[in-house]
Amino acid sequence: MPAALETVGQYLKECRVLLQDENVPYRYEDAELVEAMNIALMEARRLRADLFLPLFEVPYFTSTGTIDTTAKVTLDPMYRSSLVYYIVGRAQLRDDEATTDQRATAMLGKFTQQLLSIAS
Amino acid sequence: MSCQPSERIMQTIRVSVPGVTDDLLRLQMFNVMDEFLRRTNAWQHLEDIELIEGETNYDIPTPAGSEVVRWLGVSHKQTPITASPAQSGVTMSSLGTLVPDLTFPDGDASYLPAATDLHPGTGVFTYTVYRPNYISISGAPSAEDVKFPLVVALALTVGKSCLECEDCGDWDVPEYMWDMFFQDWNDGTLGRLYAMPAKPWSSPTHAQYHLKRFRNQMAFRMQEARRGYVWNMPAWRFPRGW
Repeated sequence: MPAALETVGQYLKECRVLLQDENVPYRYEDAELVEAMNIALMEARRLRADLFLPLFEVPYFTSTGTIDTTAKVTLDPMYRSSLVYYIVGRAQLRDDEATTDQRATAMLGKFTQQLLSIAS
Repeated sequence: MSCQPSERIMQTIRVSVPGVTDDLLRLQMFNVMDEFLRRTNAWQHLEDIELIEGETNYDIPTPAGSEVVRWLGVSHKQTPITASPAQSGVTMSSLGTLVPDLTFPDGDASYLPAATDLHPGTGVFTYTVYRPNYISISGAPSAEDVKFPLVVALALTVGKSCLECEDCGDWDVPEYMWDMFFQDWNDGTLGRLYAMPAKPWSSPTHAQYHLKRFRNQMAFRMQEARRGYVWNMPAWRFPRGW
């Protein structure tokens, strides 16, 4: 049964909506967003090891060359949107405008909050 | 929707613990069942072992997906056999079994001494368990002994191999247990989940409540396992053993 946020491509698309970066040429390249996703997964492993049961393997998606947008991202559906917030927040960290900084901080905080508490 | 026997408890816990993943839920439920079965002896299993003339060591097979916790008793020719503390040469001390013929009509349990064989001569006087699924008997069985199986009573728990297989949430425990021990396992699993630090569902207060209930229930089940599921039964059985 198809579901939201199952593949790398779906994550990239959703992140671009929040980043307001849906038109080519992109401000944030696919490789940057994929790398942010890899870091997000490592952060998730640190905060919530149980999400990686039973083998505790952190998925890695190559960010060099052609991005495989069909690759599956195995994460419990309850926590997929948290990953999006982290990717968006991390991407926006590179911008140095005050408003973007606040937005990046909020997104990264939301990621942590969603992993560690019910209210989010 | 799954119709596995475990589905009721899975559903109950999912709605009580927001944010918990099924993998974690299964892991904690497995740990609770393991602790429960190890503590209470609630999963009891009888196994007949065919003796081999002259052979003193036997591997004990157990049901798929189970592991031996401890030995509850061994008998041969309906005679309880005494365990020895990891050494051979301990002499027979059993008085034999009470058979219906030896019970007086008024119901009193008593021996007819003349009819009681104090030395049944099974040839298997004692046994030792050096590792959980392996028995060593002190005397080599004779040709007469091997006509009767060695009956062993075991307390079992869930085997850890079950955790590693794909989607086997029922772990081969007898199906009646899912209903019989529903409240116990539910409280144990909830308690363990609530006690986890830094999780959306962490709640020390709830953990304390459910784990206290779980401990109380284990104490009750341990007594129940000794008496059987019969109300008001005495814990002892004549003459002794299991």
